[in-house]
Amino acid sequence: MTPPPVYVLGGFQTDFAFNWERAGQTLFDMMGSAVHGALEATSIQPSEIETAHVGNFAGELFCGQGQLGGFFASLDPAFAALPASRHEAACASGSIAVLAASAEIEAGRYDLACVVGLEQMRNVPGQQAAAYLGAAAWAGREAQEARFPWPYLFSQIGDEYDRRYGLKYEHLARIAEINFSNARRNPNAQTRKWSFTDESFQPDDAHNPLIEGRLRKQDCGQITDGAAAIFLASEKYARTYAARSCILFESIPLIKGWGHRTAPMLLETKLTASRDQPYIFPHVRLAITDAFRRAAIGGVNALDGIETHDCFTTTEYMAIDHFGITGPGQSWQAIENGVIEPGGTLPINPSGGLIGSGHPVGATGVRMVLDAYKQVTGTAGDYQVEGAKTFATLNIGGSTTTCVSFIVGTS
Amino acid sequence: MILCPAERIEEYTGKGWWGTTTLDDLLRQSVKDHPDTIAVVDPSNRAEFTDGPARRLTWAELDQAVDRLSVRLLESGLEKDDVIAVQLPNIIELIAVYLAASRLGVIVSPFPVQYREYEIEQLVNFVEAKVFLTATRIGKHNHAEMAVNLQPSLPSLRQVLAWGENLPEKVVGLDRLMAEPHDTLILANYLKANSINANDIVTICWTSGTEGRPKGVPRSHNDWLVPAYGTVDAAELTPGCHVLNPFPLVNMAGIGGMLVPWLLTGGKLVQHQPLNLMVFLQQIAVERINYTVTPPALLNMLLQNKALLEKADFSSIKTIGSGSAPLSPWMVKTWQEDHGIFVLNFFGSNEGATLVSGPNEIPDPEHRALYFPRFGASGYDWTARVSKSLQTRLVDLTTGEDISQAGQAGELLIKGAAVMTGYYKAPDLNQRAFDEQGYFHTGDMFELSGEGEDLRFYRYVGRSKDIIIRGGQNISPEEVENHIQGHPKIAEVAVIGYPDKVMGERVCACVVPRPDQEISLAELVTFLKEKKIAVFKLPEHLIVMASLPRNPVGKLLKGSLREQVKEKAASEEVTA
Repeated sequence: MTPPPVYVLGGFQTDFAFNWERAGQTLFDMMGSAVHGALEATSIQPSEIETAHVGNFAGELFCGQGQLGGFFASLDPAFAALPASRHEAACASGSIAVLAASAEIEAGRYDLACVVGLEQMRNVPGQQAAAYLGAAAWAGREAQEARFPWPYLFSQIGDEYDRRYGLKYEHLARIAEINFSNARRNPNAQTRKWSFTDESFQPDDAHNPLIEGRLRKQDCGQITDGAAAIFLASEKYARTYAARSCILFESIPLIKGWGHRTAPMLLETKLTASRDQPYIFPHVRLAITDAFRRAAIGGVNALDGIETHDCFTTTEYMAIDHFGITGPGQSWQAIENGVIEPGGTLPINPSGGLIGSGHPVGATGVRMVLDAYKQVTGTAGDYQVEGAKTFATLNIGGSTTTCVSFIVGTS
Repeated sequence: MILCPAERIEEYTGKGWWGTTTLDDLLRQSVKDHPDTIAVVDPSNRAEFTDGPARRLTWAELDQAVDRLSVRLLESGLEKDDVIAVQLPNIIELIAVYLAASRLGVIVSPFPVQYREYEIEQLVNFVEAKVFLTATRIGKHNHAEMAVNLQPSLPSLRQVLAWGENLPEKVVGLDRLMAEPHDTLILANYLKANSINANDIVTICWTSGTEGRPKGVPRSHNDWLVPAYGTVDAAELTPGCHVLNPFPLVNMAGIGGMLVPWLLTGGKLVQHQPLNLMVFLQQIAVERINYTVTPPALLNMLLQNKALLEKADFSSIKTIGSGSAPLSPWMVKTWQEDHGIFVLNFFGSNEGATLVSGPNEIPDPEHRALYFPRFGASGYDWTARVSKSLQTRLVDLTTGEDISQAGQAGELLIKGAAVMTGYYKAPDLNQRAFDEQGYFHTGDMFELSGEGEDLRFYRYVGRSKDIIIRGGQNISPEEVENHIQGHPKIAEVAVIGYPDKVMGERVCACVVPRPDQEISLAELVTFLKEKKIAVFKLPEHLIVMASLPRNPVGKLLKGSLREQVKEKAASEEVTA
């Protein structure tokens, strides 16, 4: 039996360039900004929300703050008795919150859900932030020798590509360059005003220093503050909403398909399991093909664009072949062919992605669905992919431990 | 992967022998010109030997199947020049595999369906195949299971892909994948990033030599097109013609003699899994076949079996290819005069021998049965295109001198556009196989023939190399001897071929048992089967001897042994 559809009604993203600590604001302010912004953007009344889901990775570490469901209930008097939950799956926390909310709507428990993802990270020194983020690896068992645990582990993913298929730095650098360049057109992107020179994307130790292993400065996603909120609705609510907003019900996008897979924690376990197989992470491929199958689309040909995880350039390099844009290990082909650039056959991260737009960990999965919504409703402004009808997301927690993909489109 | 030296490519390209067309270009041309005509047809008795329905595909449908298979292969992580091992019967899928490989620039190494664990382990490791493509059922055997069970000893192999039901664990099923829509983006990206050259290797086929180790013959698009033109010209194939392929599509006879000529003429290729006579005759009649090939024994038998012949419908047939054994002049003449069908006499090999007697070259049917045109010998001009790019010589085996007189047997040496660049990864073999002028030693003995001074023909005499050819499959006696030598009851062994009307030759083991031991054929065959070698290599006759004939210095006299066996066979009417 096909479950009932889940509609996306829009939402709001905070400015990812904004430093909340410096402005004297807190995690609670950040959540309020996203949720109130989303209510305003969609003209939904607080009293209409029936359930809330919060995605956040490490509020306890960065802010000494847990129990974020309670934060939501504190945002508005109308939320005071709202069922709210908080979800954690490292960098995929936001997507897990979206999954939980859509499951509730599919189950018929509620007709309107608010999902908010958020993270405050710039309130601690960079080295401290990197150490906190290390909690998404298996503490005490991997990346022990690393200065920066995640660059260290994602450099190893690059090494594995190099071992199985060969990997050139110029292709990783091009991924970074495209993402930074896309971010210039996104008014909420953290790096939209950053300036680079040609040397910034060369294997040049002065302008693009090595961080860990083979990864350089521009290969790495940013430490970012920010939040994003969206509304998910049942068909019943979506029809009412369409009528009162004077929009065609058919123009409201829905979550057409989803895939969710979780792999054993250690990167080494994952790589050992896939040794001598074409895909480096078969479970990532499964999460994506699950989403294709549930969306009843043949595959990547049916997509008009992708918002993918690119915490590092190696992550996006992996996403390209795992989406089926090229054969396994051949992602460089799509980079050289210009497929993934704006105007290419399948633009990736028109928003700038994590590298360009920023990566407030718990917010990212929600931000991706919001960007997919904007693309398929033609409201992405300067980073709009012309005529987009179907967008995919791929959100990854840890060393691809938690993988979630959504297909968002109009029916 | 280009194995041919640049100067040879430059020379042959300059002479117009080689071009830039790939097999995939030929496919795409037909898809463009006549997308909705039938391109390929499965054997009507497909269900007897493998799963899946017998299908007929148009050129457009075939093109789509090739695209889908290409995408699946890319998803298996294949890169240009990677090798895929293939073991499939004569079904449409096997054709699609060659075409997908040609599209991608990956290399097919085709295995006869009889190959088992012993051969597969040896050959997959030798070519370092990344993917094994097969079927779950070929006959009664589950080939996918065999391959996946061998995987621990095949370090290069990443995936086993198979058509058919009852998929073993870890085998990727192709039926479902081929039925689903496919992503063209993956293929488009690949093709933009990789250019396919007509000198890229497209296949590595197998042939057994005297040394006992298998020899891989790599062939490029150009390497295949030259002999294929030999068939097109000799059989007078016309655009859109219907051809029926009853030879295993794994080597020169199937690929050079059927698959590529079909691509060149853009007609209909009907597959036949060898050999079911009633199905074969039915396919000729129903599919309105214009050209096919058969072993000589079958052509003899049909003429002798009037009842069968009357029921058959050969009205669409124009030419029939035969060869690999001497043809009966009476047979060739009767087909021509009573049935209006020209029988062609082929002398071909994986390495690139391409002598073809067609009605253009040798109009007299009785001559055509006995002689081959001296393609590539100076002073004689032939119409067949393949004759222009081939050079041949006969050389005395003992003196090494060129032969210019009739009646003197010598080894045929060949050079030219159809001749392989060399055996794959075998510099030592290649050193011996080619002479200092770059001519390849065929190991086949011919003499010059003709009228008076006009010696325009070659006549086949026999083989100089110790090899058995059973039903078109080369068998190395040394390889079989090495296996038999391991039997605890056997002191000495020699393996030879004995003549057979149907198969050409069959395998005979001559053994000397250890003192006080007795051995039977059944016992020996059971022992060999445990080695998991291909069934066609098993001895079908056993001769127990007190000693093997040897010369004074102890060298085995196989010639003498062959004579003894031939006599014994004649007296006992060995039919096995």
